[in-house]
Amino acid sequence: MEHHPNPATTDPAAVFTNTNWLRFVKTTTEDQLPARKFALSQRKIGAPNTLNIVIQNVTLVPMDLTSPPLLAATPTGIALDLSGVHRVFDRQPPVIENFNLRISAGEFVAILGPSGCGKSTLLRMIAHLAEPDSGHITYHPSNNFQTSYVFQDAHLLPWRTVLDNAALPLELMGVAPEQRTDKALAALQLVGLSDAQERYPAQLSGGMRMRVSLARALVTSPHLLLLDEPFAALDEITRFRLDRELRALWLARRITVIFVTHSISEAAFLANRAIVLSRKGGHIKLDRVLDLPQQRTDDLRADPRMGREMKLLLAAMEEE
Amino acid sequence: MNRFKRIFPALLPLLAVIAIAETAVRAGWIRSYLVPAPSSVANAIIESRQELFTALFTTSASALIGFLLSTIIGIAVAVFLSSSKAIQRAFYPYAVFFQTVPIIAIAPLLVIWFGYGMRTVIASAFVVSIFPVIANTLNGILSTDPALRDLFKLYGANTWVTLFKLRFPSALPQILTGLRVASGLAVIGAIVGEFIGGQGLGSVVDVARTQQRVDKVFAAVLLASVLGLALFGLINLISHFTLRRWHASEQS
Repeated sequence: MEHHPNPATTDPAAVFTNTNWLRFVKTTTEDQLPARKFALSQRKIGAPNTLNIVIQNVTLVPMDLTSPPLLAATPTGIALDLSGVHRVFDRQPPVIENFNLRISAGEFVAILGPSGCGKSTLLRMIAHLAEPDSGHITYHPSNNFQTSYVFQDAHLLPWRTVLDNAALPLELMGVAPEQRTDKALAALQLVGLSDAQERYPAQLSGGMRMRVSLARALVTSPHLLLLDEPFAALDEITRFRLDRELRALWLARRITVIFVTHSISEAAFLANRAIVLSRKGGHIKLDRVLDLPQQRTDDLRADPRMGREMKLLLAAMEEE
Repeated sequence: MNRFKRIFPALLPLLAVIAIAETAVRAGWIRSYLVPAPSSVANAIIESRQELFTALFTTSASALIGFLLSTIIGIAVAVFLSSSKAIQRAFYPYAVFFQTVPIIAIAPLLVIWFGYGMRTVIASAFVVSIFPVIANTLNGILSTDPALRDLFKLYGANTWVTLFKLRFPSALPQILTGLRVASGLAVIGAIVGEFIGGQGLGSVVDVARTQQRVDKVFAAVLLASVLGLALFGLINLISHFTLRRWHASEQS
């Protein structure tokens, strides 16, 4: 290898590449720190013993991809087709103007763009949370598919336990209680949080909350997973770990994933295809299938191939 | 020990005021027909305990019923108002009426409508205490996290499911704030109603005033405050048990 990047000056994660276990142990304890602090503060004021559960250690394990799939037949993703999609907010220039995009089943697409470029609006329209003013979005197959949406923050119901939060979508869809508990437990296991099922969101760290949010999205075994800057509020090490796990999850399930972000490195690391939108009107400035291996480890973050892809994406984002 | 430490700071000013009042009256700095000595207030309570505690019971019942009506109707009105912006614009100004109406001025009107006795007192307690319930519940329901509303929409939840599983629980801290304010107002409303509609502590105050029994007036006022405090404490207790696991207001 003629090119050998110095880990200390490039990617902070690369510093640890040879001591993977160390990083894992370290982040595990950090992840639990807010919960511990909370538990201690509760003990100090003599709060009732209901909070003692916090003190029990919850071991964060990496996502367990060998566990049985949530549904017997693992679903693959759906394809979708956006044609002439137009979205205007009162009297301003259109946020999304004549937008055309075709996404095949099982693709992992990152949509990149500056803040306010309409990428979240696009995602909301794909999820049917907002309707386009003109144009249409078609899905193949056109019905009987499940969509899940992950927001920038975890957005859990604070009055529900982790388990009940993860089971919420099934509850709203009218699934029987025993069945939804089983599936919620499986989803929590998938995100490495089975030990935390009885806890409340206030007792979790930011990273753990985001995992619950992911479990909630995965509990329905979605065919289409939409993520709106899901890890943007997390610290970098937690984010890297969730990136890896999301990627591994996609490799195992092959559902269609559309991931909106303004982070070039995250887009390059996660996706198979990256789409860069312009600041105004949401025009596609670049639509590129990334030339990167399917299996992604943190080594890739310091890999020249990733650097090349990031440079291309950056160039597309900067050009006006 | 821990509990004592928490209560002691609140007791200190009370004990100081009692001591100062007692000294001031006994030394003749304050005329006892203006401010009675705390000891004579205590005496009045013991002397007229039968009358006072019957009155306290009557007032408690009226205030409590008025407060419960405010809670139920206030929350229902807030849900109705929250259903659309147009409904809110059309009706909210009239809800504000309950906030601005001078209860003392309309109390005689209540007597005309409901006659002397408990019904007038309940109506009076209800009228003054409903607005904070409406305002706080409405505010709570309207400030439900939009992302969570989206989530419920995504999984096909209808209006009622969203109301009971999302909007009510997330509005609960605000609803409880409304109830705290309303509980105090309900007691005030009941006493005012009793001034005009008869019965209860309000009427004890009124009668004792005409008899120049300042000690008895103070005794009745004291019991009325204790009633208000008890209601307030009850709401705090409910708040503690419903919010302690998840809301910051009950976690420190």
